[in-house]
Amino acid sequence: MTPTPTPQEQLDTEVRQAVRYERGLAVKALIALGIVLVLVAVRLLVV
Amino acid sequence: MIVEKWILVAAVMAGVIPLVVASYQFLLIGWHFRRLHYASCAPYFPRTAILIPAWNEAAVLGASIDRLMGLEYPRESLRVYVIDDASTDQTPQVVAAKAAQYPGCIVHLRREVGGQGKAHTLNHGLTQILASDWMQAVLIMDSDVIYEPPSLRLMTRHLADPEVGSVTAYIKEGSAGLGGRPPGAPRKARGGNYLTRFIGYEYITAQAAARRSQNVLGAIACLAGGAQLHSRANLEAIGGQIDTGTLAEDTITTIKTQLRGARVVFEPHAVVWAEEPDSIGGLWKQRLRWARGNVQVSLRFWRIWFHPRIRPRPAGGARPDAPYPNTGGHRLGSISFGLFWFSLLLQPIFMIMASASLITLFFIDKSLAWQAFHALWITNLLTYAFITSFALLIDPPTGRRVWREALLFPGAISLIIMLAAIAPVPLRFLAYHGLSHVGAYGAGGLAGGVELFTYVWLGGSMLVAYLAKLLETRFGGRFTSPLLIYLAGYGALLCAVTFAAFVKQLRGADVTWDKTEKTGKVAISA
Repeated sequence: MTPTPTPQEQLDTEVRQAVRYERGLAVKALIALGIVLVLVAVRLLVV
Repeated sequence: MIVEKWILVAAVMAGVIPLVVASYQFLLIGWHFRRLHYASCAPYFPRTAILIPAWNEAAVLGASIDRLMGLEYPRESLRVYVIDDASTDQTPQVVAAKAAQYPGCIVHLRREVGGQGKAHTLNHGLTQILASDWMQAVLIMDSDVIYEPPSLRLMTRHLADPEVGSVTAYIKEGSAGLGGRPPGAPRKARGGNYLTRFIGYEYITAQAAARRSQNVLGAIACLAGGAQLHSRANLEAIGGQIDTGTLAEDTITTIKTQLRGARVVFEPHAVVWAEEPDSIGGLWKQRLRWARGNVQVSLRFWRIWFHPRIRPRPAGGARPDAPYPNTGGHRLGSISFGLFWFSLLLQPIFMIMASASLITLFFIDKSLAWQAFHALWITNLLTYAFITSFALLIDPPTGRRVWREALLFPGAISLIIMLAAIAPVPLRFLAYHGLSHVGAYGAGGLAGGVELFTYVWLGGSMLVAYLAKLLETRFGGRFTSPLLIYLAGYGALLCAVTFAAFVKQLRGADVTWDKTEKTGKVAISA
């Protein structure tokens, strides 16, 4: 049986997960910027 | 004449300000991981009084209380105060039943004369809980709001830092389906209706995204009305009462907290589900109240905006002539925060100004009008693409359900105009074949009419959205209103509401509290 985590352990785990998620958002921002660059390329190619 | 033309071009390009500023706001989210408050957090379970203002909330109250009792939080540190604003439905009976079910945890406070609005109702409860020293923190919520089990403890851990005065959570639209499929619904059921799905997407941008960037900036615009946690110290410092003079009591509380030097934190991983209007009429009423409240806040705190230097508090206390008793620590006066606030508030003005200027240019210099139009809509498309794709990635589970509404947020017609601006050749090819087929291609009047229509559209879309509101309760409205919103855009509807708020404020219309009716549609997986 898995022992119940202490509040501090639980906080540490959740904070680690949250920080990982927030770091991931920085990558997602770059992906979204990439989509914008594709549109700019389309514009340059079709005109 | 040349100067006038360029003034008109500048007025056209003002139309991109809201989306460009929104893109800047979204860019800041990428920096959020560097500005998290977790280093100052600790496991902390203050004795928390949960305040639920309630007027005829029998349909939703029971489920909300049950969810509160299921929070991952020490039961002995929780007390739910239902402040019954002279309800005439079964609200008292529901509260009594829940008090019997959870002995010692539920308190029924009743006002015999009600109807003055949420702030008055809350103040009735605040007076009572502040009179005892049991409460160490207070959570103000709405009766329809459903808290996910870990949400409160994720919020209270920020209060372990004495510099934090208030914490808010991520409010998600929770009408049937968004929070999970209702029992028995097919696997692919999308839940809710078109409007709640638009709101679902809007809340990714307005809550999950905007509040993250405000965390980065160090200035929060508004604690969500359904999820605002205050330390006792903060509540006492701002006077122990909620402002009753405006329609934006949540925003006033948020600004007052920051003006006194306390920090306000948005905790994006504390998730709370709320029921939102599923009719344009209901949404209009709610948003008119919010928009009018924001106009009132803008006027009331006019000294703050774009004054980054009013931050430090003089040693020995505030000067007698200081505009606010304490202005330390916050960044409400920063240029960025001012841009966030006003670009959204003034968006309808920018849209009308851009349209009017394009039309004027059309009649004095068609070529310049065409160039300005292209610059405006290409910028709009690029910012829209960035914001929409990023927003859908911020909250993928919601994004999967609302991606159609996300794409159509600016409306189908605006989307076509944007595509025509970025890729005119393929669209001209399609138009040529389509119009040739009906024998209309080559009609000069038609081309000029289409051009003029696209110029009018930025401002005109608001009129179409308003028309959707007018038609909603009339014959065929169930079909025509959603169609018009998909054509004109949900964004145009919000701008129309804001414009209506300006008109009401200018006319000095009565400030009345029109309550949003809740029916218990929030359905989330247990």
